[in-house]
Amino acid sequence: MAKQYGFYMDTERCIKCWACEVACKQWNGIKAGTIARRKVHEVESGTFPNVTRTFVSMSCMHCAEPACAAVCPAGAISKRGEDGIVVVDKEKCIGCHYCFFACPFGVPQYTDEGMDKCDCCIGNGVTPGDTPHCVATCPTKALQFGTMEELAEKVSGKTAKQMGAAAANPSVFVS
Amino acid sequence: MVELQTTWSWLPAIYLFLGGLSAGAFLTVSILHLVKPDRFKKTVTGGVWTAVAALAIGLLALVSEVEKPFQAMILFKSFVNGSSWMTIGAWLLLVTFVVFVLSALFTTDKLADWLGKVCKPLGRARAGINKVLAIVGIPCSLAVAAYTGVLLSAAPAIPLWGTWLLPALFTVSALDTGVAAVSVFAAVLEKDEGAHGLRTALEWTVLCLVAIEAVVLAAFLTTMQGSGADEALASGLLVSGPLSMQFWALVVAVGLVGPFLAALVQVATAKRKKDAALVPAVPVGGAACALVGGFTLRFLVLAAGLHAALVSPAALQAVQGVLLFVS
Repeated sequence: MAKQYGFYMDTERCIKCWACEVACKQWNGIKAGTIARRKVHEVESGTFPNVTRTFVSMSCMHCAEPACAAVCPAGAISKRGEDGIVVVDKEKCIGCHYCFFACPFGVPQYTDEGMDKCDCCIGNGVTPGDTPHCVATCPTKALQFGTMEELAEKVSGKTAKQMGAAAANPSVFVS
Repeated sequence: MVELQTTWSWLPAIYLFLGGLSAGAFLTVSILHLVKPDRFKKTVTGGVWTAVAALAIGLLALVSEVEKPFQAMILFKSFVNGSSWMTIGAWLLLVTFVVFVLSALFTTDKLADWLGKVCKPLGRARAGINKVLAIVGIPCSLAVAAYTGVLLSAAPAIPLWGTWLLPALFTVSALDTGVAAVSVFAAVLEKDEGAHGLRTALEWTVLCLVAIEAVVLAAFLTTMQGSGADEALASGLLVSGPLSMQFWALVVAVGLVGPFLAALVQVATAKRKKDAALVPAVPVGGAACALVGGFTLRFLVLAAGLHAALVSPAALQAVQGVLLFVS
């Protein structure tokens, strides 16, 4: 199998500083008050007094079988063979929003130019396979990037799990 | 409170409704034309033009929904992505629209006469052409009616839409609204001597279709209530949530009970007294009810189409699933 790059989110290290979100917006030239390719979510569990807050930074999961690409009527979404990064061709995108209804994670967002989502920073000059800006800026190393083999090695000693979704097979580990 | 689905709102709902209405109307008059050629001219002509106008407006609504309408024409360059139902649907709609327009041209006496004058063979073959267009149009209509539901049911991340019962529901509703539109022409314009029989036949069709639609709608909702938490939550929006007022009042009372009662009154009057002429207000009112119900149904099914990942208010539900497993 060709290489597949993905993310590893270590929730034990995340302090919800939003540096990844900000770095993503800055480097990709996303206007303030519009969309966010990467978002930090907060998941609450338990009841008072035993409440736990967990922070999770999520973006496109670059699935092995992207549901968005399967439904795109314009053929604007594709999965790169060499690194498994899922990219959108904004020239081709017609802005029909159909991919939003297909993606199990509701990742696709829309601007005037069409669908917009994470491309592992290859659109702003990062060599495919090099560290994207969200990961490079993370002060606690909660967010990591690499091939799925490398990531699997990193999480081998932890209770981590690959994100699951019907048939899509996302390229993201969470622990 | 749960936020309703707004990524697709009014314009797609208008298309889903008008596409179904158009298909239903064309199907009805095609069958009428094949069963009784050269009869009920006004009803057939009215129905065909309704089909053309409804599909044209529906397609405009569809195209203006996308952010780059001109770029959308890329769909007709080739089969860009054969695995996408939207690509297949775009071609289906194009072919069907051409069939509908041709049929309208050859059904309308004045236009067909003019075409016959310009091109003699066309004038001679008019009856044959009409028949062929009606025969080709029937599968096209059924496909267009079903496609409105298939488009939604092929979107895997929306729990409420993921069932074959949705295309079934939209198809029945499409036929229902189509027959309603045609029955308006039959009630108001038709002067043919057999008009009374035609009206009664249409009313019987309405009775059957409304009954089937009620059964399919009930099956759709009960299946959804029973198939999972997300599905139950989404269908609960319709039955007992923020959309329940519109659902029970406009879809069930106005859209199903209204046309059923109107049709029942007409069938009963026709039985009691041969050639009894009811005021057109009854059939027209019944048809108007059916159309209101048909549109509201599409709009509500769209609005209740919650995204699986966004159903959970805290964050991505998928993330929660993973964390539960990990901790």
